[in-house]
Amino acid sequence: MTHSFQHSQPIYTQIMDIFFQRICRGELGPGDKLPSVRDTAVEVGVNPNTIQRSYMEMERRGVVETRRGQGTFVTADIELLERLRQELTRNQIFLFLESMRQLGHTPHDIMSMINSSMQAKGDTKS
Amino acid sequence: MSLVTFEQVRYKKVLHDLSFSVPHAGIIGLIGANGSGKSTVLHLIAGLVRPAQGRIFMNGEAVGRQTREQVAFSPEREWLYPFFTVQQSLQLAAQLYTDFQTAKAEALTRRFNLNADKEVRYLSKGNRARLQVILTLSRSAPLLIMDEPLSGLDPITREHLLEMMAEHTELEKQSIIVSTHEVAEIELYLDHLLFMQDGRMLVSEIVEDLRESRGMSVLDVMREALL
Repeated sequence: MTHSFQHSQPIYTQIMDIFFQRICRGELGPGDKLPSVRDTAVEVGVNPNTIQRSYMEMERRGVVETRRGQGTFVTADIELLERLRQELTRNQIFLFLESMRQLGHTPHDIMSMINSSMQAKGDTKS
Repeated sequence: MSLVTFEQVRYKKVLHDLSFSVPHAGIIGLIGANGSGKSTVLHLIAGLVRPAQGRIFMNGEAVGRQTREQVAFSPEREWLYPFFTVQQSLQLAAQLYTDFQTAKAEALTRRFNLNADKEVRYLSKGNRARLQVILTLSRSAPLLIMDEPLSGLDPITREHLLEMMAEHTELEKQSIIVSTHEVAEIELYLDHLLFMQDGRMLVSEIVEDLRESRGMSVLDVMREALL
């Protein structure tokens, strides 16, 4: 994974977002092992201490768990993962609606524009 | 106990009354233009030169004979013997430094495709730089210091060397201080930023704190310091 980071925002939260997305997409499934801190650091090109911090923060939120001597794993708690996905989805929708409001669009406009752009992309199903 | 502390340090005409502290272990970047005093600061931390005035501490201990053995110092100029092979360079390091981990050095030279039987003078410039970094990373000293390890190298090699440092410094028990005059390429690897100009330390900050509590990037804070 190559990433461009927002250099004025904490990197560890941005790393968490990357992992949350991979988990929600199912690229990393319940119970799957995360790459080691060191491997992730090299892959993403950031400080291993920063990766360590994002793993700790994900653990604090229950999304991953560290087993001594074995590594870090995505939780098997499927309900928690579903709640995470819903939370991230709500956040994205909120951000989207906020920026549309900034552009002066009404809720009705927004809905019809979404529909027409999805039809234009032929993307109504997936 | 802080990693490094300078208290009112004076050295020749380079440093006047320099005080700063690096509170935590990790990867520390010392950024500054040529002639800003970076190299002098690194030599002082390593105990290779003595200040005219002031005090310097490393891990709570006054810098001196005791602390000198806890530092692996890689000077800016090339310091390998050109007529030694890669293998002989490793053997020499093992004889010079009791903390040298030959197995680690051999693994790294293999991993980075440095031919053990090749003489240093026939290595490319990038590979000579890789070998110097490998020799320093293979010491188990609590503090590694690299003075301008990236200077004069192409961007790919620079990136490669930074990855090596991040991956192979044993951050559970080691810290590394790297000086450079370019910040962009090192920014994401840093725990702590030191920024010097004209013998003064303009910035000494934990990088994620800057982002988290002030919403600033390393470049932002350097710009602010120069105002």
